[in-house]
Amino acid sequence: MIEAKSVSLTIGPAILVDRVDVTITPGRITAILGPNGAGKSSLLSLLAGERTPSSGQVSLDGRSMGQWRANDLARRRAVVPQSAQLAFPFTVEQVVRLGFALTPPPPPKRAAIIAQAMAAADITHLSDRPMPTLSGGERQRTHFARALAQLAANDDGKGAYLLLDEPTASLDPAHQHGLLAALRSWVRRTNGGAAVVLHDLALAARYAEDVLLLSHGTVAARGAMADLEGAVLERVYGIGFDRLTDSAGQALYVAQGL
Amino acid sequence: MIRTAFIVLPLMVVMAVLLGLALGSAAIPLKAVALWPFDASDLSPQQKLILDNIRLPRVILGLMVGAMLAAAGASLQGIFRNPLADPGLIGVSAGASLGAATMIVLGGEHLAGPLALPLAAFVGAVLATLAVYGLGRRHGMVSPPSMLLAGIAINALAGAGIGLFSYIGDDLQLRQLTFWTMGSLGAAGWSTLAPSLLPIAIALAGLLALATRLDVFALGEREAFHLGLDPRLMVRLTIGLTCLGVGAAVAAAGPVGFIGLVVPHLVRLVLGAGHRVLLPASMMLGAILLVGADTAARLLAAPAELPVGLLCSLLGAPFFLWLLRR
Repeated sequence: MIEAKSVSLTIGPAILVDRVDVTITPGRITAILGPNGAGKSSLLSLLAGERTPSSGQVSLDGRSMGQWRANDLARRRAVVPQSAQLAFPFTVEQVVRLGFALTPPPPPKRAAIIAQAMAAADITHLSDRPMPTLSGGERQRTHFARALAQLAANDDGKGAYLLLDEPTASLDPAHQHGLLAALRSWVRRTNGGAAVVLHDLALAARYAEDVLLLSHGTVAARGAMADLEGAVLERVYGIGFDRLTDSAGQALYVAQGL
Repeated sequence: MIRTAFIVLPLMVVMAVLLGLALGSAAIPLKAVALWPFDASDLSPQQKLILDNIRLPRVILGLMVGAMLAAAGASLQGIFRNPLADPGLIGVSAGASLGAATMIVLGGEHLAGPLALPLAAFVGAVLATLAVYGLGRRHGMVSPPSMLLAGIAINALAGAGIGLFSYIGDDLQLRQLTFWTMGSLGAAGWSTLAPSLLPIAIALAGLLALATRLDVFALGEREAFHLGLDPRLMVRLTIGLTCLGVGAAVAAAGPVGFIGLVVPHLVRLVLGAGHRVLLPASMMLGAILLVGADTAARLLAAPAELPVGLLCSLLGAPFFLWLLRR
């Protein structure tokens, strides 16, 4: 369990995250929603142990993030960045393999871990392509595969955590659903926990068990997507929403035009 | 491709060494040189003397300096995540030159022992790198972009210092200083070689051990942390090792340009970006190029010799431009 207790992050005069409580639980996907600049990515970097909170505490399995060595942390949680800029022309397979470069599994397991991760992210056909020749969406899927490979390499049954920062931003609809379905099957198969920053409320409704709606660094609402009120969304996003029901009988919010 | 390279490159290293030993103002038959370790009976006493005291230390220094500059270039490009980074950027070469200039102009006769100049250059290299490292920190965190900017400033400052010493130096000092900054393996002898070998060997071994971490670092500092790396420690280790090795290399041979920049580029183009291949291949290619260039520098203007640093820049710069325009 990754647990943030009243966690804040201030940089200079800016309060990016303001006393947020959130728990990333095994077996569940938590969607982090909110308008641009609401503090979603900052909160994710706190949950990842990458930044130290200005106040409050983030812990993994009860142990404060500051007490984890980077290498031990890498065995328990992986992060899919919004956009990672690779400095040199590594191939797709090399990048996926980097997922466990510092936390290597036994050699006989490696090929299968790579193959499974690449299949889950639907990039098997790209394996020998240099990263700079890929589209933005293909790169995003490669980093997703890298994170899956990282956690698969060290699956010791204690439960792992996957944190994703707008993983669907550059993806076409089929791959948006493909990635989140792969995330859901990872969560169910390994009993892992996931937090995913999303902008698409319909995707959040479809795949996330819990929702955390941020506004100006604070929590505006939390719970199941279906329980979210249109009025709250309207206040936070500054635009009206229609509540629809999709073909699967699920409630969806769709932004009204301005 | 990679397997072929790791057969061809070692063979080329051997070739470069043999040619470097055989060729020069007094040519020695290649066969006699090749058999030298096993049977020296084909060599005249004078030839043995040349090989033993002049060419062998010179070729060894060339190998070590060439390998070190190329490895430093590859590692710094990895740390700065910028293919244009070069040992010169962190102030090593400029600091060493300033140290050498200080010793040449202010050291005077009584300090002119054979090790005084390399020692001053090494101290200069370390001080300049420490300055760049210290100035390149933001909020206690090492920030590669700030370090690059600090490196540019320190380079300019060192350049001004060298200019100042050139201005106040007399004609002889000015000539010595100018030749030193062109880079040469000509000063190599066992006594000057020995002190630089250990630091270079430590730096080469250390950088090789960091190869996988450099791969991870190429994803970005944050991503490297996510994968289990301490990015601050990584930057410190890499800068420290390159400073140690390049400082010793420049102290012994003067600044030799372009090997650190061009060699990793070339290797990456052919063998890919993975540092576990890039580092050893760059070391071999750097060694081949420097020993080869030094041999050419001795032949082109025989019985005098061109400064090898000059030759490297003369050939390296157009080659680099061609690489960029391809």
